[in-house]
Amino acid sequence: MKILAFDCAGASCSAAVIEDGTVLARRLEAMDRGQAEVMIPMIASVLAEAHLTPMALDLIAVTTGPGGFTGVRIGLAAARGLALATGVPAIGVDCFAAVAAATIVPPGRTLVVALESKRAELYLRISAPDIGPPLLVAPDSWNAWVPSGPVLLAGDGAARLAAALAGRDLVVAAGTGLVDAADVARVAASLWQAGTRPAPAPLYLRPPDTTPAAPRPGIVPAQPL
Amino acid sequence: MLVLGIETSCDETAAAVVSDTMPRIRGNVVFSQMEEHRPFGGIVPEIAARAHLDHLDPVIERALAEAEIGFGDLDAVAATGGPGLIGGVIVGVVEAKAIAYARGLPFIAVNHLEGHALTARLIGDVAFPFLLLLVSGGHCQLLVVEGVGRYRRLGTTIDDAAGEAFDKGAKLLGLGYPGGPAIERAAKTGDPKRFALPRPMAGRAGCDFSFSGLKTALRLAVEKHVSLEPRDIADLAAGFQDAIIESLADRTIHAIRQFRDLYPDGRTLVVSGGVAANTALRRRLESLARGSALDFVAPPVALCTDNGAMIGWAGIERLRLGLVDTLDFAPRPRWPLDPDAVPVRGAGVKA
Repeated sequence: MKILAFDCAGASCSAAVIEDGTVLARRLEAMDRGQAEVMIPMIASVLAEAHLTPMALDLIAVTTGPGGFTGVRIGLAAARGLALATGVPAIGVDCFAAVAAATIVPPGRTLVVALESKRAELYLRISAPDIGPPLLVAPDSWNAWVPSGPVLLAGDGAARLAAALAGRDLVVAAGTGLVDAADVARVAASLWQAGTRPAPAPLYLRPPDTTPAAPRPGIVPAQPL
Repeated sequence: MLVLGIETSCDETAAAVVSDTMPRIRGNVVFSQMEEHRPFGGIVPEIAARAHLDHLDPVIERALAEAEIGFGDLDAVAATGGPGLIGGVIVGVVEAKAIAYARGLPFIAVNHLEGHALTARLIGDVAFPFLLLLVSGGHCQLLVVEGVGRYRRLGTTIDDAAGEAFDKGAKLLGLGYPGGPAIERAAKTGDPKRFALPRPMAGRAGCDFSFSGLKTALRLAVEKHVSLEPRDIADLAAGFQDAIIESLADRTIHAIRQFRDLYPDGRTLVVSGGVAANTALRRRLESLARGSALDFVAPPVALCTDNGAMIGWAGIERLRLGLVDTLDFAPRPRWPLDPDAVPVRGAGVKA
């Protein structure tokens, strides 16, 4: 089964092609911005390296977030455009699952995946041995939120969380914590084999910032004239 | 030649299939996000960006279905590459690039303003050069369209765009959003002469626009009343609309003189953009053009407001000239049609 996977939800851009568990091509570049320029050419380059065209794929997998809103949409728009134009199915994989799939958890530790939100808050999820709900958590709630007992932290927000909770039994997983598209592809393969096909739909975890328009005093409410 | 055109730069999610042979518009679908923004009295960029992603797939599919074609029948994919609300522009650009790449088609990044400018040639055989009044919620300019990708700006706004002025005026009058149609509706029964509102820039040299003083004058007039009755609102709306139209007309008269001097063979005045949907403005400009022995072209209202057909058509005009873009194109929140024009203080993205 030939799978194209990619991610640009966080502070990086990554694309990979795997076939029946073997990585045929893989890229991962750290970048804060510019994914709208880089993502499609990077997809084209991994497919070229794997000697595949988009039409020859069996599955497209993309991360759904959480992360930067714009980055999440870039990945999803790319996946939907490819799927629409080729008829190849596309599924969504959240970034917590992709990071957790790349992390080996020592026995007796709880895995917490922490992802950067580009704000003070972190996106947090207990990811092993049991899986909890994905949440956006403010710094003053981190200490109460992180489970008691030995914890392994993974993801690009792990170091920041560990520093804020110094003195607790926390270990930070090795590596950058950035999402690797090869892991996204592996998660997608197991989802597909299990018969689950989550839609490529955004996981924002935070509503848009808005201020409803205040009615002006002294004005009779709008009447159709 | 068939081009898919995608537009996501403001609060309309739109796609169209356009041909270089008649009939030119084969499929044209516009999804308006108006209801999603109405509670906020204006467009919220993050809500717009989310809505574009939610709606773009079905809008594209419907445009292809209307045209009775598949992706394999397309010759290129064009998308608005800017200027506009960048979160939305990015959604359209990336999805267009993905479709183009997947099908091995050229990708064309279209300047949204060029889409509006070339609409006159989508609906008829308007020759270059022509004089264009481009009036929308985000832009207010007078331009000479010399050719595809070749523009000379004669004037622009130094503060608000005309559509923005309509929106702000409607808000002051409690008429809701979007303001242009709301004010036009309210103005129908109003007396434009009851309130003396200024005609911004009238009589001044050049072709620049300004609407912030008019907005202040309207606010002062509103604040004089303890409460506004429907009669007052109608009269204020009529006076406000009249002031905007007369200001646009005055600036356009100056532009026609310049156009005449610089391009003696130019024959046409075109109005385009969302504000060109205003009936009273169209009538005023038509009589102006007639008085100057120019042909007057105003696209149908559905092609004045944002749509995918104008983007697809600009794509066709560019494709014919070999003007295609690479897949690393960077969406542009600012993208002036005439990059050589002298910057105008306060114009910002509207220039």
